[in-house]
Amino acid sequence: MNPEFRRQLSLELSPARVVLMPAILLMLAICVFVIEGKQPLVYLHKGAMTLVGLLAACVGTFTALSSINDELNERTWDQQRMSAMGPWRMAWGKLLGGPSYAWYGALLCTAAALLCGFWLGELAETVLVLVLTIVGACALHCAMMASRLYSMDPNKPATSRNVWVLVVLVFLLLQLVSSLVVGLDSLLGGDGGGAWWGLHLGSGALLLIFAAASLLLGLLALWRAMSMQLSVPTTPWAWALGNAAGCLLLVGLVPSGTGRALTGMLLLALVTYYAAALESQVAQRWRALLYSAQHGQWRRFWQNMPLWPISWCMAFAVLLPAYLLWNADPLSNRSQLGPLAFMVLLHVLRDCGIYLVFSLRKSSRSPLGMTLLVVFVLSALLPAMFWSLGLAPLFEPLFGAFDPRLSSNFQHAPALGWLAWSGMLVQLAVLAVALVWRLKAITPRSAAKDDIFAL
Amino acid sequence: MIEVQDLIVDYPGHRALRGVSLQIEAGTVTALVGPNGAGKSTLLRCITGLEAPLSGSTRVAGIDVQQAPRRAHQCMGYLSDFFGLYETLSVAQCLQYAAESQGLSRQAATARVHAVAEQLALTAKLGHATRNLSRGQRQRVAIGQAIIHEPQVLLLDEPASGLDPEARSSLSTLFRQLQAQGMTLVVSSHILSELDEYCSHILSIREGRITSHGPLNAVAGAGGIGALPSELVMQLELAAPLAQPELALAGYRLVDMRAGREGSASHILWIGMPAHDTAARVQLLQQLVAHGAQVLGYQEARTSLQERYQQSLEAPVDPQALFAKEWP
Repeated sequence: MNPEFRRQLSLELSPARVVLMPAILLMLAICVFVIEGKQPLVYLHKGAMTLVGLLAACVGTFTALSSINDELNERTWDQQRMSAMGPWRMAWGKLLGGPSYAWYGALLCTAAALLCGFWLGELAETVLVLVLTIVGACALHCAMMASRLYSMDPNKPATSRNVWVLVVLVFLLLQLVSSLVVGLDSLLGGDGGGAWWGLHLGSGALLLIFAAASLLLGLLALWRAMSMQLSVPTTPWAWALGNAAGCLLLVGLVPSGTGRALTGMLLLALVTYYAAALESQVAQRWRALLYSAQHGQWRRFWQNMPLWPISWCMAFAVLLPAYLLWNADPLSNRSQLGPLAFMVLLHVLRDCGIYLVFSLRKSSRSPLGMTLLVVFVLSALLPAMFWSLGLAPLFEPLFGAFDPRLSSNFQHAPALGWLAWSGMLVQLAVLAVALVWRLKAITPRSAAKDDIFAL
Repeated sequence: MIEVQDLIVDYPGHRALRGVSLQIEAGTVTALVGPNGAGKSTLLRCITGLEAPLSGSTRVAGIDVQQAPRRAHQCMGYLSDFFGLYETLSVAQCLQYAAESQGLSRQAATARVHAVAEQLALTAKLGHATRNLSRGQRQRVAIGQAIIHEPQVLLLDEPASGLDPEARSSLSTLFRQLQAQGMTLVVSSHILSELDEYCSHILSIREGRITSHGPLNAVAGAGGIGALPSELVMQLELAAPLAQPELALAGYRLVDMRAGREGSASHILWIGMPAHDTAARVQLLQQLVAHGAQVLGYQEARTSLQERYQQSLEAPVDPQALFAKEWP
């Protein structure tokens, strides 16, 4: 048996806890029977299904994350990294072992829900809802664990802030899962459904496809994130594959070709932000990336490649054919989508660049907080101050699309206004200078002979 | 057993290791010494693969650690300076988990748990939760986890810190036992006197560069004459000077000689001979006695770790020269 799985089981499933869970669930069931005298089975059925969702998605996510955070807090992570267990073995040991107590409770509730469903003549629907809930919760565990592993700095223990973020997250999940599980039942009962890449599917089939695909993508992400933490050399092909698969999955719901391209691009832009915000050990990673590029070590270059530039390049790759398709260049009229989409991507690049500049500082202040502050100044404060002068797009180029004064003043102006394009170019240039300056600052002085960033 | 090539490690604004290259032979115990911030822990973490270098490579037992870290981990054990234990598990469970996570079968792991517990005097504590153990016992459990899979290489970062004298003494005994079993040890520590008891080699690091690396049984610095490569130097203490030194030392190289302690007529000689030649050692003593030498002491010459460390602090930092000289 997987030793990590067995260790997690021994931690989670102590004899006292094994007895406690059914006892509490039994008391809850008795409460339902006492309170609801007329249709107790109906309420027991709904309650059991909701509890499956709550235990699996909320408690389970929390304990799955704890299986990683506890290693940092107890300083045992080095020992795990020194073991001979491969990334996949370690990943599934934690994935199934960490939330095993939550799964134990969820399985007890599943049994109760199935019995009630059988009694009420709703067995098929019950099975479908339970399968969706369990697969969805498993996918959630994978995604959260992968995110935690990707953002984890082995030199820093999980702080109380991490715990608070988790608490907020679990609270939101609690709201989401309870409404989803309750709403899912009525959704499945209706005639709803939709077209996915032209295929007309029932809502149940559609949800099953999405849940299964999410689980597969989550497992892929978890395996790769664990590989990275266990020092197994990895190139970012899995990230690119996951991005592409996720986009194909979701874009299939959008009917038109233009809408699909835009949705794909926007999804990839969101993923770019997410990857940039999660990244840990930014300075070491970028230093290693540039050093390996400079010395022609291309294998190491790809192994050190951060994930957000991959997603950004993919978004750009999605835009390019669409750009050509729409025949839209920056000097054509503003009704074209191409320039706006292009500007959105430059905007994403700018924001990630700002975050990178702050991440490369030797400061304990949160780079995310500083980035949000600068973006707020650039996108809200300065445009508000200079709005009356028509200079708002200089600071927030996307305002060029909404400023009627600009289009009336410049008959042959570019779609977003020349001010917007100039503003973005200036901002990117300033950012490039700031980045070179920060990279020089993190490059040791002793590296003068072999390093372009050495002072 | 351990090969490190041109290892460069950067932290933001600071180069921790500056092109470190070294080789450590199998069956040796190497004392890794140097001031705080010299790069000792970084070097150990690079050898284990826990830290990714900017460039360079490390090989342990012929396995590239950067390319195949999980396979390399099967032949090495590592004790971090800030190690932790699973507080809710018992000592036996901790050792069992460590053994199985290194690829041992359940039966083999159980057998190793008992063997290691006996070796580390932990048999009576096997059923105790690790949170109830003393500092010295916790240290022994952590070492037990590192050696449970009988690795060829054991890397220890400050293993004796925070231990009482008795626990330190038993640690020294343990390291000697492990060396006798054929294990290669690299021990980083600030307590030089203890390292001196069991280390056969010194690896001194300063500002991310190697300042000294070699065996401790050479007479480096004694009269400016050191041991030649593949040469063993014997230290001889005589009650009076040799009457016929040419005849008494025929066939051997006189490395150095000087007067003994002040106020006494004794003389100390350092004599070089081929390493690993036990017969030559015996023959030299017989030859000396046959020529009337009054032998007070006859032993393998050894510079104390403290002396070697002091010399390394004064020596210029030239890693290439050191590497070429001491590892032909």
